[in-house]
Amino acid sequence: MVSRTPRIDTGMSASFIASAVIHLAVFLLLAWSGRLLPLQTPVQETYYVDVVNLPTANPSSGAPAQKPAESEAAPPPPLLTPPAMALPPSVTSPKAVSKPPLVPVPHKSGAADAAFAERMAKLERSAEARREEAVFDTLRSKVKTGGSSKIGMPGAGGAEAGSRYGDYIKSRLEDALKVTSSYSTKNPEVVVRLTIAPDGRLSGVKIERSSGDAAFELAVRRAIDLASVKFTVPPGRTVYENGFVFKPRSISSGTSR
Amino acid sequence: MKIFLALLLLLASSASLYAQSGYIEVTAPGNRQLKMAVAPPRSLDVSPDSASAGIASDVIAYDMNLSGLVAAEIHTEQSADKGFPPADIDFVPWLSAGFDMLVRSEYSLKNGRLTIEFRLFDVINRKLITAKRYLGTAKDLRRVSHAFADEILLALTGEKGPFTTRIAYVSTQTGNKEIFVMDWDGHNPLPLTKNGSINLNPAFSPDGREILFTSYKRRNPDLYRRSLSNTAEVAVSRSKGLNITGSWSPDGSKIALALSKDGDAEIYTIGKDGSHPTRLTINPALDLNPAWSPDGKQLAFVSDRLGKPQIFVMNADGSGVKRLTISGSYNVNPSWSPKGDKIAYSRMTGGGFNIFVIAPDGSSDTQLTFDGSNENPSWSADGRFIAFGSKRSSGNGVYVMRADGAGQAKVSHGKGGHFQPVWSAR
Repeated sequence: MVSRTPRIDTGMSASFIASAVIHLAVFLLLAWSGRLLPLQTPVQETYYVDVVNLPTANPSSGAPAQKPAESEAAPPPPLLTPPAMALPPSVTSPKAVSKPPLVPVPHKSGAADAAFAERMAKLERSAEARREEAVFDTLRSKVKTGGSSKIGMPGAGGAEAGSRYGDYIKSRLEDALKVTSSYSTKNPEVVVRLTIAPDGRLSGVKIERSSGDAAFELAVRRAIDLASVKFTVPPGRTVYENGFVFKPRSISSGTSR
Repeated sequence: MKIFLALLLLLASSASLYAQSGYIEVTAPGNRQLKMAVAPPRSLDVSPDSASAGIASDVIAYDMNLSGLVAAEIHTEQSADKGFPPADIDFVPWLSAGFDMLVRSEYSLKNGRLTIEFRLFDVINRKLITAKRYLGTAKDLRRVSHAFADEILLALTGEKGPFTTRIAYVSTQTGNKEIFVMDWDGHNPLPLTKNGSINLNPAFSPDGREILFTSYKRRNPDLYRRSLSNTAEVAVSRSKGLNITGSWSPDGSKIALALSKDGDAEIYTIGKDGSHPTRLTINPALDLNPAWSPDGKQLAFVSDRLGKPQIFVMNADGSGVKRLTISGSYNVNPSWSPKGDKIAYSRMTGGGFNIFVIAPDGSSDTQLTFDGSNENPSWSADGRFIAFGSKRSSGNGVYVMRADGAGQAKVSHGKGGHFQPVWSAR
């Protein structure tokens, strides 16, 4: 059996009071010297310049406003003196051979302009490359989803309106229905399943449902006839089959998908 | 609130059923009636009879206009096309004149023998839709033209037209009430009975070869059956009292009629030779005017068992009687549509009658006529049209209208009154 001896808490001991006094003294000392909390924090200004969006014209040939003041001009590059001995041709950078030899530039500001222009051109090329890469990425993602690389054309597979084969067929059918549209009841509707062969030929037309308006049903069948002449081959030259709901469009209603 | 939301969701889900399942909506603005040009037939003979041949284009244009599907007009040839194949036809003048369809024909009439060929073209698609050649005699010209109008409707709608059918009706042309038969458009009216008595309620057999009618020629309203191809006529029912409103069953094996041999008029069925009478209604009120459903399983009839004449429906064995019409105080003359989806009848409105249609379940009760007094509706074989007798300011007689009440036109001609029309089967 273990017996425990109770400890007596002495409360706010003398050591605590001594510690508080010492801390207060150190604080007052530092405050007096003014080093702990300086009254004014120096602000370091940082300027961000989007070099890609800078004017690309040669500053020296631009408008006076764009021309940098002489005092603000960038310091000229250090003059290169020709080496006493000809250096051997660089093996690692064959392009350097074709480059014109660097000679002292008599006009100091011209050299600065050329360097600046070169930098700008490099930045532009890099920005252009990034933009192209973004476009290519979009196209690649469309190809991955099954369409071709032709946006808005039959076979494309993008998500944008007009970029799917179904949208292409819809467009052809709507053009044809504008010519043949005729109906005698209030809200006629015909549901048709179309099958398009790999060669683009309309190989199947099945009326799945009709509201019973003979005039509109005839208009739909004539529209399909008219449109099918212009059908192109389905993507991947495979059989395309889909259902289409034909409705007349009133002034107040629009199309919806 | 929850119920409202649930209903809204249900509506939205049903409305977008096709959209959800990958259906693509195709819409286009505009609505116009299709225009059909009917060119008069070209003669292949040395001395053409163009006056007679013009009948063909008249008939086709009339039939197609009444169909309501197209607006047809007789139009002389606008081009010098010599051939029939679509490749030989210049469609541009027809297209620029706003036509969607073109009917062309060529005929030869030699020694009374007629050969005529019709072709229907789709002007917009520039293709031949249908073509038919008919052989006959000169007097068959109207009939073959009607036959091609039937073919046009078949090609355009998938269902043949009724233009070669006929209408039987009661005429007072001779001073008596006699049964007449005419083409559906009122041409070629021919008397069927000439007994100088009262003849009423004609009804075609399903094969169109015989007619039932009630005649008082023996001083009692008896039911007779008469052939259309010869003068053979037999009494089918000569019971004491009324033998009226005979109606052939769709399979032609039985006849439903009203007999009053038991005191009041009751619905019976009998064999087509009058044998095996079977009483279907047992009621102290008047029951008459039976009309078969197209499947032969039900009968609509008129009964005043509730005080005023109303339309009732019962099974073909007399069971399951239920009231059909609940509006109007006087509803008579039921006629079941060939598709079985509607029953046309006459209702007393104001001082006269008007034609109504109602669904067999009692819904969609719709008035079709509003002018004059109109009775005895009878459906065409395809259910597109209804013939009826009318007394109106534009002339009394037999009229024809589309099933929705549009395109009402008087078709019977000649002196006297014409009423109680009944349309033949094909």
